[in-house]
Amino acid sequence: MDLDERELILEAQKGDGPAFEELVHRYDRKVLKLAVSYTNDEEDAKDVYQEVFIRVFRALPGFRFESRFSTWLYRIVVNVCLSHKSRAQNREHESLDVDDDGHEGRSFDPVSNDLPSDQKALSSEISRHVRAALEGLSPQQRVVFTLRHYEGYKLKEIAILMNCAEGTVKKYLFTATERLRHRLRPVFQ
Amino acid sequence: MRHQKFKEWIPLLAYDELDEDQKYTLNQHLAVCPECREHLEELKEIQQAAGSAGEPSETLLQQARRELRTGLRQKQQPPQHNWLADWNWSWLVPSFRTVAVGALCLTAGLGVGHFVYRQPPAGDDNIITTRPVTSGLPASPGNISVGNIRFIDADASDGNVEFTYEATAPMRVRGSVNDPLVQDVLSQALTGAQNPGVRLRAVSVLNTDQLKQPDADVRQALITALKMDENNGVRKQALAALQNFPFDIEIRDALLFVLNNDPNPAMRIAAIDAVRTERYRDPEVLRVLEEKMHTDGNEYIRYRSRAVLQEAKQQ
Repeated sequence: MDLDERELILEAQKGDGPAFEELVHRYDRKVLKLAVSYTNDEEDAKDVYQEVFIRVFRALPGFRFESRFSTWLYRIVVNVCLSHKSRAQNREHESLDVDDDGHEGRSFDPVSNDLPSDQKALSSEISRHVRAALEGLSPQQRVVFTLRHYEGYKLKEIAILMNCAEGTVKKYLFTATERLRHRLRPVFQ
Repeated sequence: MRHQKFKEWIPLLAYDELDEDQKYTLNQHLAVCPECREHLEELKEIQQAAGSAGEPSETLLQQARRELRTGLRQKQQPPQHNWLADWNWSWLVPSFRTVAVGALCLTAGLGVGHFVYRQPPAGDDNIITTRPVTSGLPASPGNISVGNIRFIDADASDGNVEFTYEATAPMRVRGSVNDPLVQDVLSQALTGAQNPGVRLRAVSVLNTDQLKQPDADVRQALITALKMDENNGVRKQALAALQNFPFDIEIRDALLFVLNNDPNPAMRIAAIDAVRTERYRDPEVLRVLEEKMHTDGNEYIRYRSRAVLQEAKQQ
């Protein structure tokens, strides 16, 4: 950890708002990217992002520099992802967050006149199946797949973030890829 | 080595997680095992189809940061941390800050002053000195709920204690939409209520041509909601309501803000329609439309911007 970051953390721990803000800005783009990869939905990603930094805000006074700040932060990200329930999952319990077009704060495009080409349509169809298959994974399998495939973490690093053995992470990756393979086989045939 | 073990290694090979010896051993097996080769090929197809993760858009990042600020403000417990007091509030749109602070003060004033302490307290402004009573709290009619009690002096050995508490009470209001109290409450609900359904109903009520004498706070609350509310319906109603107001530069800027930043294409289209009218046409509007004509990610919005600009040139 560089001195600059250590000082920032110490200042933020004392309640310095701008220091906390600077810390957030150092890492939040990467956190949001991971959240988008994991949830595959921008609204859900914003929920994950917010939950992560609210937890960081609350827990920062207890951070004792026993690990790198980034490791500590991404552990929080992983924990939030593991416990995250998507808005789609929560939707059935909500009745009021609906606008007069029947949408729920989610982006939508009412215009359908920019039709994609056949190639784009095929690619889009495959992407849709991949997204659906990813949503069928358990949270642990999905976190491992997201961190390894989309974020490029090595399995050893993922094990540290998930606080488990590397062998366990390998099993999650294996079961994730097996499920994806079985689910997507008809799409590729 | 068993076939099953090689199968377990295949994803590790695909993700470059095997050491050199393991790679060599697995490749020996793949040379003689069509099933494992097919397995590996399928996995490579999945890797390709899953693609790679792009960077989140700047708009999404800014939205996330904005919502984080709101979230932190709502979650913060004042006695434990004072960070939000030091937070860089210049991040926030000044108008929102004004409304938020105003709403907070007014809520406290209405909740405590108007409904609870109907008689002005005697003595120090911040300390309510109680009189002997026979039942209940002196300033607590039955329908008031008391919460968040904090003791300043819990030592009752001298017969006295001191504490603060928050009191809330339901209230029923019936009156004209032009009544300042009605407008104040609806403005607060529009910018302060956590429940999007409440915000939606408040903005729907304000979107009426019966509103003849709109308070400046109402207008400000509508602008804030238009720019910052996370619910599409609330933003849409706020935009419609603002069109009943006399045009000014702040409303123009709010509409252009929507055109530049709102993630919902329907809102951006509504903003174009709003700035399309004669009174809204000015160089800044034309400049933004010119930009949107080339840069907006939505084809219809690019088309619409071009059409409105052409209309402007013909007139």
